[in-house]
Amino acid sequence: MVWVLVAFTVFLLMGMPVAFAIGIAGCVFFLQHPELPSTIPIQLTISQTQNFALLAVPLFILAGNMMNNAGITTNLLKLATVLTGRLRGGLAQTSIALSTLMSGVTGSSIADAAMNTRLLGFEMLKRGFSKGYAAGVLSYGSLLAPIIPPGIGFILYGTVGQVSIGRLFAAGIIPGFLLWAALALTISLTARRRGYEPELKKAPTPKEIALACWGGLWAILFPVILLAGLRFGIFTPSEIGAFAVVYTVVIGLFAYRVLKAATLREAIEGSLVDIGGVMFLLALSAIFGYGIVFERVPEAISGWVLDLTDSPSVVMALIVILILLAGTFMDGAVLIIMLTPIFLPLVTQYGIDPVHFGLVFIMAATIGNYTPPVGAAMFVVCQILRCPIGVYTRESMPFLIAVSALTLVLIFVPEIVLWVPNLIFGKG
Amino acid sequence: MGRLYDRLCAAEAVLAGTLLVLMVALIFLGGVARVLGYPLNWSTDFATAFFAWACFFCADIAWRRNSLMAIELLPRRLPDAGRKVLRLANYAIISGFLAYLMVMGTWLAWTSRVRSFQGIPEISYSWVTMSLPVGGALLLATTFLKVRDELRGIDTGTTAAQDVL
Repeated sequence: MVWVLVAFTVFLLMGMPVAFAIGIAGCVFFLQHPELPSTIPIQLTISQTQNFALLAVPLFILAGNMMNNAGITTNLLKLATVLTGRLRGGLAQTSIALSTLMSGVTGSSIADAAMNTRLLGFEMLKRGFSKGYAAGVLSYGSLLAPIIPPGIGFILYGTVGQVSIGRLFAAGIIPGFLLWAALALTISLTARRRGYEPELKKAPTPKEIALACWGGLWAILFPVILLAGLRFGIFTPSEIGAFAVVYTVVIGLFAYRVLKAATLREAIEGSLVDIGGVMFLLALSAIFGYGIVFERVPEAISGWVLDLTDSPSVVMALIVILILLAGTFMDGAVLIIMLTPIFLPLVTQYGIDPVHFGLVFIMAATIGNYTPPVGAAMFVVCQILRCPIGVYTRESMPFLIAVSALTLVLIFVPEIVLWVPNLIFGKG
Repeated sequence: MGRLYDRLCAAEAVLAGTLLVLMVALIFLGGVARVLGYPLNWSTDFATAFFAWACFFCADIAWRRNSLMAIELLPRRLPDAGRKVLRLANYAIISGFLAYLMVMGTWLAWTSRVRSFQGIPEISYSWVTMSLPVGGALLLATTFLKVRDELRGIDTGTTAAQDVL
């Protein structure tokens, strides 16, 4: 297994795509064990694609890409403007509110960051926001997407670690709103110093608010329908991806009446590339995972950590620090796929609830998307706005501090995470 | 030859998109049918079979468009010549791996052809298994074209950042 890790590191440094690096490094294990049949890596890769729960991942990517064309984004933007127009920080507040609303229908931070930046990025610059600050707001706001249900991170973690996806979704609700509050507060505080004024000159009338709410209703309803459907067993977690696609198409065609065949085709074509990147990685990661289980790596790490401390919170904090560090140069989805089998058995030995750990883990892994040198959401936002990474890093620091502080609170107060899932699904 | 390959690429995208739409339809129908009290046990089976094919087709599309995520910290710091050597080394290793997927995948599909797919006796599991060697062949063709471009002096620099979380 040591040689597998060495090979993996070397391949990564060579700039090999992560999917190939994982698969080929995983094969090194089989070269070391000639007694194992040489077709096992093939079987592992294929069996990963036969996992029904993972089907939700491509379908959510597809649904996310359709949202824009279905009129959902436009309507939610109106609602977000009305709700936050009077808050200090203007469009920055609107952007975070939009992310919060959108995250109830999307599950992907990178898609959310790209969409928000195209929608609001240049408008923010026009109103006098500095580039680095705008990029910080737009990228960190997308952290909400995987936390508020539904989220692809929950599906990956739940599938790899055999944890209830319904409970994970429910666990994201309160932390999601806290996350919005933390980011909104950070904007308010920093906007005062920077002199960023509210977007609306006067408060919206009740009628305007009611109209905006009505317009965004279909999108806001989605997470509610989703959780109710899961709770009452109407559909299974694996089916929600397909449900999300159908829901988006139906809303776009009949409620907002903006969806066209051509845009639908565009969304499908755009999704193919995203899906290829993720699913190939997932499929090949099975080769890598085989050696980890075979050599009892989780047990070895558990034994080592158990000698170190007996406090569950400290263990979780240690793991989070490790994930944040790894996240600076590794991708969030990769971290979840690779580290769940290692860390989940460890934390359960400490009596930590797998749902609690899952939420904190996904949050920490996603934060990695915003930190240099490598962060997918950061790259997308900075690329669109043409913002140098150094400027982004400096000016987005308040947001990094805010989300890290919130993660710390979630570690030490599990009730925040577990209250809603226990309420909806009963005590696990 | 070039035209033929272009057509193959277009067909690949259409096929992958179609499989994706079929997956949505099958899973949704399966869910609705179950709620109505008429569970369809074959809908999810076909959906996962399509999934395997769609997955590797999409991987090839992403690879061709340089959209597979990679870490470029080190390569970016190298001079052009060094980057080129590194890229060719990557392509060589990747080609070896893909060739292995093709050969062993085909062999596995052949030897396990009597195994039926999800308990449907008429359909062999090899239909699913074949997705990997076929996908591997497509990926290998893409890799060879990258090598050819690289040898002709065209920079095939790896990636765009990508993540779904």
